[in-house]
Amino acid sequence: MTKSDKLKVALLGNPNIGKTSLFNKLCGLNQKTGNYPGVTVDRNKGLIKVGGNDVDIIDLPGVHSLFPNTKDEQLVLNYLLDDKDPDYPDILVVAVSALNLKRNLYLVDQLRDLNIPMILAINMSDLAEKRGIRIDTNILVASFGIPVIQISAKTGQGIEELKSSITQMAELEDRIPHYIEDKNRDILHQFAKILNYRNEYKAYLMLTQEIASDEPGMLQKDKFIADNDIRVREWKTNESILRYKFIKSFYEDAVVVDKTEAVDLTTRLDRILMHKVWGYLIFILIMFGIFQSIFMIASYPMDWIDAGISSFSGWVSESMSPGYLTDLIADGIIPGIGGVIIFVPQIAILFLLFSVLEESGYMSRIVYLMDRIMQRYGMSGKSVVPMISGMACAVPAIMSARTIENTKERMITILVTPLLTCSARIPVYVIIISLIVPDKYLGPFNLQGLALMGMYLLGIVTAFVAAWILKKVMKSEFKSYLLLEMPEYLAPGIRNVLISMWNNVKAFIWNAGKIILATSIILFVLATNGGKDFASAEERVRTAYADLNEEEMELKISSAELESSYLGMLGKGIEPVIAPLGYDWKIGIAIISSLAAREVFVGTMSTIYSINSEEEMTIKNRLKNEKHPETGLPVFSMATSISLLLFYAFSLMCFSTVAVTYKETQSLKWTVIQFVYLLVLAYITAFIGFTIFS
Amino acid sequence: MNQDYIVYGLFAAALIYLVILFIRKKRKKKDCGNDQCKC
Repeated sequence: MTKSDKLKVALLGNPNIGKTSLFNKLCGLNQKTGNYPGVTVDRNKGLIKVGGNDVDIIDLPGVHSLFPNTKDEQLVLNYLLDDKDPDYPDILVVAVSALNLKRNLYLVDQLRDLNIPMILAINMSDLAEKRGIRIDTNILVASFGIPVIQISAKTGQGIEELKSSITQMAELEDRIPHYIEDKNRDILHQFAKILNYRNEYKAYLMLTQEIASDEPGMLQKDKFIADNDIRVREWKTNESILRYKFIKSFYEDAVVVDKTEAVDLTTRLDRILMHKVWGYLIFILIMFGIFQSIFMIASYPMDWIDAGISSFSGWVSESMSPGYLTDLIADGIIPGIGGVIIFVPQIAILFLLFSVLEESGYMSRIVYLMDRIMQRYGMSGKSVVPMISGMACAVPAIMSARTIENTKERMITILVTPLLTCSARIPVYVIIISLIVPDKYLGPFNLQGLALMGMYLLGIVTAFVAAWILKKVMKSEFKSYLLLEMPEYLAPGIRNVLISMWNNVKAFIWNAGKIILATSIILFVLATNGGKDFASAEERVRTAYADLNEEEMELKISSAELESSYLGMLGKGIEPVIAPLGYDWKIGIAIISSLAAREVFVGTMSTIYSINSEEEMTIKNRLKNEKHPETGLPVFSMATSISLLLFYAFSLMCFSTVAVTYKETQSLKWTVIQFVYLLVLAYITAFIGFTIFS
Repeated sequence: MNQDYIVYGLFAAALIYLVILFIRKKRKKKDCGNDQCKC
């Protein structure tokens, strides 16, 4: 097997498990390191003498699995598959962390199937002991059929034993593959024959991964996949599930964690934060605190911004020469853009607090804590991350669902994530809540803050109900397992937290701002132009209401003009559909324009009502003062406002989310199902809400 | 009168911008039609 006299030993493992320290410890002062430049990464080589034999230690970059996602991982995979490489290993030393053994064993299990003689080196054994983690190496030896040595690259414990094992390695025995479904084993066997490989896992990797190879058999790969109708993505997903199932079968016996023996800070904090009662209680309290602070702290800068925008708009219309452009800026663009800028303080606070949770290491605990609950609703503990990020924005949230291995759980998570209250809904909620809920305190709690939290809870509860229904409707063959790395608790880095907040706020303003600027201009022009009725509106009003005073007359005229404008015609067109929900044609226009992004609703309302109004008022007051032309009652009554809240809580008014769902699911069917089920749900609940409260 | 032209010009630009944005989103979706896509 060897291509020179020297024994080649490749050092492999997950990233950040102390592999480089192990390499330095193995090579010690005698090391001769040489660099083999790759595209982005180097293989390091060190020469040591063990029992009179020369041994080349080849240090490879850290990899999570043999499914490459990065160039480093691709390089390692190519190296392991190319037995013509002069450095092709005779022996693998796979280093794992004793603190995250469960997750690290996935790579071990994959490498074991390559049948290259290998040793499992469990690093950080000393730290594990401090945390009360006891590992029964005999069970690992029996499960993988390889030698297992507990080491500490830091203290040097077990290093000599590892060195002497290297020279005593024997060939590995073949094991029955558990990474592939039985029904597909024959297909794999055929492909291994085409490639003339004895090792079927090697053939499996050649089949499922993108590997540049000059093997003659590889020319037939595409045809082979098509002829046998192989779904590569499904094979890979199944491999993950089957391997974790295998690991789970022995893991609980092999690794015993006795927390009472642990003494470090992380463990002590986890005793409270991961407690089966206190853990959930603290989680709820933290979420409660976040929503309270969004309202309480942000209310001051929001008032300043609101007042600033209306006086700026007034200043522009006074200081610029009168004309159409001045009107567009003062009554169209400034209120439209202002409608979004005003929510920056709330969004900044939300992102700031979320990034503190992430940086501190608490977010991973939430995932673990919630796994049991999520499983009942057909999701995984990992669904918590998309669901919590969904409270910021559904687009990155749906993308982050990629980490969920089980297809069904992933699909359910994607389908229900838009129900969580994203930041784009905050402007809509805040403005409507402030119209119907008094700004008073119930003990220490702000009533409007409680109402906002109520909307968040409504989103969460509906998401779980929808998930439960989907769980019953969708089929799946596999059970899933949660494997998670628990980071140490750390004080959040202020710089990181601020950068993350700034990036998110910038993205919010920039993404929404561009669309809102364009829609404000379009809406303004459509609202100030129209057909024959529009041109004759003033004349008609003056004839019909000759006895009104000048101020009332002006209002009547502008209202009639807006109604007969192109925008008015559009709104009137959809009025029959939305009238049962308690909306007039103006709200209809706002709903249509908010299809691009929800927050456009507020910008549009603001633009429409500015066009109609003579005074410079804050957005809230404009909406509050809006009266029905016939009944004289407020447009934003309790019933209409609740109906609007419900409509925005459920409907998928966001093109970007629709696009990302299609991209992630690769299924037009599920994308349409998601949009339609949310729209139907929104319409029905808004209708019920309006009927009950009117 | 001049102000009117500017407003209509901006209106046309806004419309073109939204149309481009829509087309770009559609094309992005099309490019991501395979397994390996990481965009």
